[in-house]
Amino acid sequence: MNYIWDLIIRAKRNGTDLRDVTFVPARVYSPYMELSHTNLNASDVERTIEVNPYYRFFDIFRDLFDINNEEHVELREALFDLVIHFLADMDLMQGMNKREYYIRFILKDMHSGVYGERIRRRLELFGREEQEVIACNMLRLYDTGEAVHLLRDTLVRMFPRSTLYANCEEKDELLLYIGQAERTEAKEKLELILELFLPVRFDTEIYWGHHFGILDVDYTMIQDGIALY
Amino acid sequence: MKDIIRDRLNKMEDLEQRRMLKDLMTGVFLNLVEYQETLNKQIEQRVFDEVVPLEERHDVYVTLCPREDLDPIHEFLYPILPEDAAPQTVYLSEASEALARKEEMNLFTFYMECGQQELQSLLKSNRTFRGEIVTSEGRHAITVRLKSSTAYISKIEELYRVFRKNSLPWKSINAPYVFKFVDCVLVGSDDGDAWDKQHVVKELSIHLEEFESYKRTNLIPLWNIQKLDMKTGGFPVPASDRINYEHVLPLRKTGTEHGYLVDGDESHIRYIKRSEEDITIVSPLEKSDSWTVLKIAGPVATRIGRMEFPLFSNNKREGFAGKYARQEGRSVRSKGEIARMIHAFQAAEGLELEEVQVVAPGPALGITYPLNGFVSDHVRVEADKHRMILRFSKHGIQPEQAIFLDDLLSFLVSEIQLAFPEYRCEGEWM
Repeated sequence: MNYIWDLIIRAKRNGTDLRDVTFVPARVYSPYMELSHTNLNASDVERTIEVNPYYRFFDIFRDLFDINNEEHVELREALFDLVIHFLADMDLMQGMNKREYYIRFILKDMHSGVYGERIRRRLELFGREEQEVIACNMLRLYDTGEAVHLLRDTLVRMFPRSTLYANCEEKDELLLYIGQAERTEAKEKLELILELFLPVRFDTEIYWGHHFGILDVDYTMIQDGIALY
Repeated sequence: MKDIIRDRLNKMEDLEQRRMLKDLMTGVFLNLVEYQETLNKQIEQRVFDEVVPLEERHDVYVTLCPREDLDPIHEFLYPILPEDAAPQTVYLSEASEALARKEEMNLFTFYMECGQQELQSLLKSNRTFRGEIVTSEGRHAITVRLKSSTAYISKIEELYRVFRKNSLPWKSINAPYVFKFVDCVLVGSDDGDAWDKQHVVKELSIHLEEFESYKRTNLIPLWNIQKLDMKTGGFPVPASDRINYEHVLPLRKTGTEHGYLVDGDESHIRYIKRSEEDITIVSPLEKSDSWTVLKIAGPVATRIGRMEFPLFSNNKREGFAGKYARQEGRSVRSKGEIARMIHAFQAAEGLELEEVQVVAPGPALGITYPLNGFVSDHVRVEADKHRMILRFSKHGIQPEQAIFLDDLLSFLVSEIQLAFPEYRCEGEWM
């Protein structure tokens, strides 16, 4: 963590109330860092954060803490805290671009039931990051129409051990090996992904914990652990 | 941010300094914060608006009303058939001539308040019913048969052709009522030869036996489309190597918030330009007497008027995904996308798409009927197409909606059919 926005994002993810985060001008600080933690590699958000205000905002703060000014210390400290909070808010917008907004819009649509009640409910099973992956890939699906590729991509990210086999010779069939035990939550997650990405003409066969046997691929040919195709 | 400010102010111990900070905050800082928040929202809105929304002014609303309650100055609803405003009349002379020629004659059209399946089985059974014609001279017993009425459906087809002329994409019309109108056809009489053609029919009645409770006469369907005639002359405009005549139809008087479609001979319309204030028809013709314009009025919440029958529409809330998908133009064939297309419709409220299944070609077994029979793919043979079966569940349906459920399903499936011409779409209940 080096920037104020780093800290704010972390605090938001932890669910920390931003009211509990107070910024104070650091007494001792490195000129090369914005935040002056006691622990350089700290990963928790502390209550009181020492900030080097001159790292990025010299022009704003150069006169606020003049060493010769001893009046209204409390006022200036509170003001400093509020201004830093405000600047951090603005900071957060730095990387926003069209695509980022689109991802948020898609998620908003899904959460508001544009894709129906079932998808709205199942989306809650995914973490924040995973939801963004889904939204990103939805946009890519509308951009490129590459449904099977994006299905695989999403699956691998949600179920890292999964493999997708396509059997397109005589019928449109996809074999999905998930590589983890079959549980209700995982099942619902998988169904959401299939619902969003799988073209309707495909049939699917799902293998959870056990792989079907493939000759010469040893880890699929373990006795008592082979699924039948 | 405001919470933080309030919190910090409360924490300050030196009251003098607290007052100063409070002044500072309320004087400048809060405004600054608010300004920043507004700007951020504006950016978001701008990004959202960049994706072009669908033209919403062409949504069609349909309802039903008793003939005697028809309001000629209603805010937005007009009879689908303008002649419906007057009571139907039957001429005895025509009826007896038709009988003599052994032709079937439509006596009158009425509404059947029942589910589509029941109605279809009645119509297919070819049953005849007894009726009576009363003239000033006496009573004549007649035999009639029911036939599904095409009067209103053909108006929808007409509308489709107008949409096409105006280069507007077609959306199915969600008008369950029009498929429940039946024609009462005269097939015979006991004493047809003895009819005195001079007499006027005073009363006409038929008895539908066990279906009698469904029979509702004197109801007419309404929609939000009004036919207008607009007069204008052409203004010559050179376009590189030709002269176009621009016929400008100002919309200020009839309301700029409504949708307008131009009807006319396709060869007289080169293309149509739209702007907020007027419609410009670019035509090779310099002169035209007048243009027929269909005004699709936007719905207005009326305080006085009460609707006895539910109002149906093909209104859609698109969301971001819908706009984006349309802009990109790739067709996405996943179940989630089909669900999105369905749930975009207001009409889908209370219904949920549960399952999509593609099966080999075969005879259709679904309970849905096509709404857009007149829209043809022209590329694929209907019988060779794979069937796509869409299964729906229903929850929280009002009892008065029950007889329209199959029709709503047909509407939604017809919309999917337009997007998936390579399949033959059917709907089913779970």
